[in-house]
Amino acid sequence: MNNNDKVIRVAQLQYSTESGGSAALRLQNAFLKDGIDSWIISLISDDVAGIDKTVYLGKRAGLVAKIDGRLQSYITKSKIKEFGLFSYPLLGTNVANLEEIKQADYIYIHWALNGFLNLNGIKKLTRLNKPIIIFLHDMWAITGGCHYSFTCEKYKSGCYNCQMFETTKKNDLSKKGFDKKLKLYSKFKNLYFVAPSKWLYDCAKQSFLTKDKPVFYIPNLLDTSIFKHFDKSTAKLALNIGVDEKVIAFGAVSIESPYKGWAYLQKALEILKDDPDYSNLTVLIFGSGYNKQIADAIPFKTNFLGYLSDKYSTSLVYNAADVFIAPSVVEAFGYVIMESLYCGTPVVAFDVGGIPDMIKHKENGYIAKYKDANDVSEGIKFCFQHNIKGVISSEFDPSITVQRHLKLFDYIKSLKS
Amino acid sequence: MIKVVQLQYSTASGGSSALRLQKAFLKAGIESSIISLQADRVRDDKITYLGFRSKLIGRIDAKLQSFLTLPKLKDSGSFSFPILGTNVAWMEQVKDADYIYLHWILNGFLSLKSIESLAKLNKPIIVFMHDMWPITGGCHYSLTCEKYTIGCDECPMFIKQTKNDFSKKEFKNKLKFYSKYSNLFFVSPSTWLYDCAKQALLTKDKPVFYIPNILDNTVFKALDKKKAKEILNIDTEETVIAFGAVSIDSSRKGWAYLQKALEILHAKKEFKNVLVLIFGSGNNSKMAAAIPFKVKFMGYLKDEYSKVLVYNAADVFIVPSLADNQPTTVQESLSCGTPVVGFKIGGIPDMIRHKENGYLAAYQDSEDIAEGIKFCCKENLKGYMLSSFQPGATIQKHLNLFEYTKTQMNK
Repeated sequence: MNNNDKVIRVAQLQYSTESGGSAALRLQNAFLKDGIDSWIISLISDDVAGIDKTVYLGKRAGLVAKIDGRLQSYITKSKIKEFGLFSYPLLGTNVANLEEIKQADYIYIHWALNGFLNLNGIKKLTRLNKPIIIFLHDMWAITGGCHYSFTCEKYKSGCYNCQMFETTKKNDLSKKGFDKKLKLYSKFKNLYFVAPSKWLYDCAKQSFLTKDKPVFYIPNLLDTSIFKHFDKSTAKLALNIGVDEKVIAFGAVSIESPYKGWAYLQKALEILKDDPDYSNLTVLIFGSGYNKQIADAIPFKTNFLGYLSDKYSTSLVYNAADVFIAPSVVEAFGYVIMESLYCGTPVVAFDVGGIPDMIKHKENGYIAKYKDANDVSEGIKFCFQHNIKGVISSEFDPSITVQRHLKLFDYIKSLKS
Repeated sequence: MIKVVQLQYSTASGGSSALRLQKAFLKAGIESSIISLQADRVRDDKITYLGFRSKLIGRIDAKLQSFLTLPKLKDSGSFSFPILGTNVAWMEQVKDADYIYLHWILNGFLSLKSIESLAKLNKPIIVFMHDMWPITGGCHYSLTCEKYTIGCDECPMFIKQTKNDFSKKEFKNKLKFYSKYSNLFFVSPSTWLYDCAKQALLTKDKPVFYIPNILDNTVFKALDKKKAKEILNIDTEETVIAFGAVSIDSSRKGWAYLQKALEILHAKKEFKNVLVLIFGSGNNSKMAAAIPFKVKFMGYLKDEYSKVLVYNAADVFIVPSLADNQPTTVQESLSCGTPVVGFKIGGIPDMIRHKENGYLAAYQDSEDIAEGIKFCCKENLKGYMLSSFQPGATIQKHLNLFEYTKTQMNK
């Protein structure tokens, strides 16, 4: 019998269709286009309604997640904010019985924390004896619980006495989380790991948890028919920006986010302000709305666009911008960078995480020295002076990325037989 | 400085009207803040979202209501009989305000009792009517029923019509409440609803004003149509017929009539290259199967900028609503330069001049909708907003209202 004619079916688990940069949804759309059947199972139903092939879990799962959230924030209450998230899932929902899972040939686990899956829930899925593809959207799957380890390297030998907690305890939550994962990972042979950036791939190859596991590098993809370059003056007009205005853009996040590096951009803008060539910059900000602290700190004309949910409107912003700034201090992949480059707008960012995969220094953007605000401002100037255009290597073409997934499926099959 | 506070269920409900009005107020130097039950993504230091307790109350109220109004006829629309609600009269923003606007505040946000605690503050309460609810015994649209003009009872929305039903109870409650206070002012965004309010037993002796919703015409504006089509990957040669609503399959939005009109156009072979462009949430595959032309679904669009692209890419926008107050989609489309075909109901004829910036079709006549589409495309009609809808004119109407309330309150 020829198995090749059979339609491949995948199920993708993700906390919400918008989390992890909508990675599951974007991948699903590309899969469907390519004749691979795909379903998303998501805990939180956001109002991206009208999406076919999406299953939202019910109220009970939502309640479980809420309780889990409370419990976790209680047991991690001595966490130091600057280090960001730490997850030690206690409760979760068992989805192994869902029809979409049963019918799937491959199960993708994307960002499924926040009370969606605990390790037991993952174990139940693994027991189905189907290939489980853990898609790393941050470091959580390869650490004792932190989402980004920053300079800490304990995940390479075994987590304990985690730097994220004020109290130092040898046998802390990071150790427990690490041990639990180790037990789960070593028990099953059907776990595969995918990293969307070379940096995260290297981390996984060095992590004590996954160094002997199959790890693959497959970047994220996006809909290039929406994120595309179009007439900059139309985009500027739509956003009420003069065609001659110099525009830099960034996605605003909460100032407190330890990952997104807002402080470096703020400093860079202050440096630029003193340069007469850039005194009339327009700053375009999208993200969680007007924020007084951000507004007060920007010495330029600023246009707050608020939180943008639709891809069409974000594409409009990228197209209206001359330079996009993404000062993240950690970044598993960097969707905003990919989006901006596809829209033809160069990006200034630090040399960290998945960023250097996409930005070639002084070609399609500028890679600034890590945490160096002065170099960020240099990067902005460089992009303007040399009229740098955002482009992205064809290795990120959605069709090539889908091919990489198909190769992964073939590899898994070859192991089985 | 004049200070207003605006209450609304969520910043996106009622066509985001509180938020849009707030932006215009702030621009005009009028201080404004919003209190909203449901938190959505719009974060702003002038918007306050209520906490967990209020949301829980809201949820319980919704459950109670849907249980009580269970034997409702399908397709009859919403009926609200608020039981629980949150008292917001103590809030700083309310206390500070000179004027209190009540927008769409149902679904467990305010009950009549919590509205009364606001009225007791003795400040002008401006009830901005986003549907008929403030003037009926509970329905949001009375459709052909006229009982609200004499007093609701035996409401036709329920499968079993009984005397002394919820509509009668609520009507009585409202009547008692409205007649007790002289600081209640009613605003209707359409002349149709204005007329209804003047005829309603509840409000016929109350001050009622006609003030349309406000729309930022620096955001909703005409762009190069060809470029808008290119951005959305639409062939510039195609004739684009657009349709959109929050939920596209809501029967009140009249999709069935447009669907029939499209069939008529298809049968008559009037157009060669037609693309039907749809935004909103609903059952896409079912809809697609019923459309004889190429279809493009945009999904549920939340951002104004993406809607602007859709309106601009469209050659004609269809609003086949069977009952509507002042549909924002009509205003938005016209403001983007795209003509609108709609029935002559509710507030639609306020905005459309027949065969000038759109087409008013005979009620529930698909044949005439098809005719309208043909007319707009063949005559290359341009949409535009009538001057009475310009933001400046609308703000002035609010200021006039403030002046009027002053004269009334000092009596």
